[in-house]
Amino acid sequence: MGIKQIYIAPDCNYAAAIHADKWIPILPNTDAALYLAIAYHWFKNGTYDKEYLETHAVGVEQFEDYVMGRTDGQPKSPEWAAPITGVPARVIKALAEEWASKRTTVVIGNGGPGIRGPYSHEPARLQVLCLAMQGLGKPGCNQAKMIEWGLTNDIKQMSQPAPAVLLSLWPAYTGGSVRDTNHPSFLPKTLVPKAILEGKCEWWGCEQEMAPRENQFVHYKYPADGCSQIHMIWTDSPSWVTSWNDGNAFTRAMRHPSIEFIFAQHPWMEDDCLFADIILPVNTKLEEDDINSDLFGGQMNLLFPEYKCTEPLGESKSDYEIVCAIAERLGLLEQYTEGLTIEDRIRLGYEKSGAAHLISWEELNKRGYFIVPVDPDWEKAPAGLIEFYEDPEHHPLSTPTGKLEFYSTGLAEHFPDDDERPPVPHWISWGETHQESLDSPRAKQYPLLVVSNHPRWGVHAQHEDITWLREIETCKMRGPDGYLYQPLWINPVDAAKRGIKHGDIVGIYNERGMVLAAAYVTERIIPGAVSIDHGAKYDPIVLGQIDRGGAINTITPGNTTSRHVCGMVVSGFLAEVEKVDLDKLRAKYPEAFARKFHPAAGPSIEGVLKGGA
Amino acid sequence: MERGTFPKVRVTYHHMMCQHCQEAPCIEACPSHAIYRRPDGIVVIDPEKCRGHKMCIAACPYESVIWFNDDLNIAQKCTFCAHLLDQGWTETRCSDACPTGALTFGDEEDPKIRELLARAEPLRPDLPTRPRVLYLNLPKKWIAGAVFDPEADICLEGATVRAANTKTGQIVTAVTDNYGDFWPKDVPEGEYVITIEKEGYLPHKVGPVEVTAADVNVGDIGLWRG
Repeated sequence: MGIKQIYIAPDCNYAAAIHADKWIPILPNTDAALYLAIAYHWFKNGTYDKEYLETHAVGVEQFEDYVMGRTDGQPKSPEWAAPITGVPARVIKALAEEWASKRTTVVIGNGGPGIRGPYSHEPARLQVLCLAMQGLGKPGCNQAKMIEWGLTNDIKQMSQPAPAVLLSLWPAYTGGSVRDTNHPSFLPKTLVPKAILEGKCEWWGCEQEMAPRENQFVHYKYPADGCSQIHMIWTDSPSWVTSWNDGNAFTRAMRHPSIEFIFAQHPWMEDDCLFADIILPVNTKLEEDDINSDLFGGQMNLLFPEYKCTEPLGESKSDYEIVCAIAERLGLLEQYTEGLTIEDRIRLGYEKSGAAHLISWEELNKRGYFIVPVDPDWEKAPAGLIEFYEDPEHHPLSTPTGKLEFYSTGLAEHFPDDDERPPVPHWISWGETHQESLDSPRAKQYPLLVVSNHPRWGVHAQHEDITWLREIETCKMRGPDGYLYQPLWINPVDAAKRGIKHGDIVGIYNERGMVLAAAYVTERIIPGAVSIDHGAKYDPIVLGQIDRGGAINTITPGNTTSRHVCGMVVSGFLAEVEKVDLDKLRAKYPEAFARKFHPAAGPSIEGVLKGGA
Repeated sequence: MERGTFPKVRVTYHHMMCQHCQEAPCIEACPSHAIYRRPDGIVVIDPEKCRGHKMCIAACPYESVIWFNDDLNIAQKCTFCAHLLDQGWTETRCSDACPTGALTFGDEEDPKIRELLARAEPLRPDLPTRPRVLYLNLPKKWIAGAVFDPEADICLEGATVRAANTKTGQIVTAVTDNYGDFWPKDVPEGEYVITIEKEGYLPHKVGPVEVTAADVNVGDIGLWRG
């Protein structure tokens, strides 16, 4: 279509490697400094939409004061941002000029630099402010995302052409929901290790992405008043150790004396199941009847009954059947099932899906699937934030003022002195909650920034054992010991400094522990940063300290995003990388290295069962 | 295949498959005479005649084309979906499946195919194999760099970059964009001297550089006001 694409990322990712007209490499978690420098250049040259800001924004003066250095004596110029971001000042200026001179939309995968890093709410807010300075909502000037449009269950967020109806299977769903915030006692996932290890904690907001804005100011604590501490953990398909923050702390929490019993249900013996006292085997999708919808794929919204193609293997049951069996023993079966059989539930799912008037039950089963037709009026739907752009008074945003808040009135009201998330977004290098930047004291010992993306060859912790994928070098790399290691992308400059060659087995480490990986020496990562996908199967050499599988989340920061924000931090953190001597390690930890693993599929049940499988 | 050096990096995907050569080294090499060529040009390994010598794998000059099935003890490779074509399919499964239309299968008598063949080239022109898999848009090497003004600390747009082949005299030209980048991507192999000029600045010469084994990145070039 001839639209220029500029990719700003620490890695020349798979889209950039093919589609980029320009790759601007940037150090992980420094985007806030880049956005500030761009805003500086626009303020300095007057190349921004001043009229738009007068009618669509509040607090611009306070923001300008900070950006131009009137607040703290430090102008946030491109020259200031260059050493922080690794982007030369002249490139920042050229980018700022190009952005201002053309209709520019910012496209992110799902969250881009605004998620999963220390203080990542700052780049998230600053990205919006930059868009605002160029007239956010005017045609061609929006923010777009590339996946998971159905995540928020809002038909306005579906990619175009939008479906005629937004499917929903919630009425038939039997699992718990993060939307249930009326429980007297709950705990954000990010705080589970802390709560168990310290016995108590407090936080603000329920951590749920669809919660109302005001909820982020609500204070919670654990244990909640009149409620118990955690004594037992019941978990299904868990992968906390390799998918959440500070997995090594999680392993300590699971073994804490206050946890009397852990019960897991999962199809495979892996990851968190290693800590469970009882593990019940669960069916895969192939072994059970169900009904499903796909709202994440974009244009094709699907409703499809799923019938088993094989009987359950061994004694495995579905998650639902296991929960029913326990409910029965607790006298809660009728309440839990609402008197419905599984067949009833599947039918109920169809009845309440939103598509029942568009396709009969018989036809749905005959065809096997239903594609929701496109909304016939989809072309009339307002594009992006055009309504706000054209008439901010009648189409206000959901901020307290209805406008774009360069100075957040909500934060000023509730957390006016929070230097980690001030009313005007800042560049937060390091602070009380996180010291993960290259100019923090920890960087002397741990001088590399780790970026960890969702895996290319899996979905979080799933598909780790697919043998065909594991043959691919960017998925796993075989070490001299025959083990397939997680690849770590490292620039030739950083590798040479450390005597590391392509294929060498290395340890990535900080105070939280060490993770082994295979060096994938590549020009596709900015010097000063290394990249390793998350989700590798946990395979401890020393439990809670050294992992062979490459589960990088075992050494990610434990603290949440910032003082008042309970999000996870799993990327943009400090570590060092060094070559390891596998022979020395094997001599030091003979039992761990003697553990059986499948040569193609990796760590397996044989390795963890006493007396073999 | 990853190419270039930071930050001028790209990935090109090279599809490697059996080339169904008209002069197939594997046919010659097989001591069991298990490999043969059909009248329609498809080269087939007969699984009943294969005795697992692996001479074909050693003889094939292309990468990762023939592999060995340890369970059946025979060599296996692409068959151009012969069994499907014999059932009436008009193209191979891979050609059918490719979402970007990167694979086109057909008869060389078909005018559409002839048009493509006229523009296509073999992957390894140095080999005498006479393959029946040909390629369009095989990437050539590039010369990349970026021009800037170190005094003003700005990227220089509109600088003319001329890379002259020292043997043939052929000149490859590029004009820098708003990031000062120049990146001509179809540079014939050879040795080049590069001249960079922009009005108001002293011209700058880089090289000679060898554009043969790998793509060339001359890095950031500063121009000084003249």
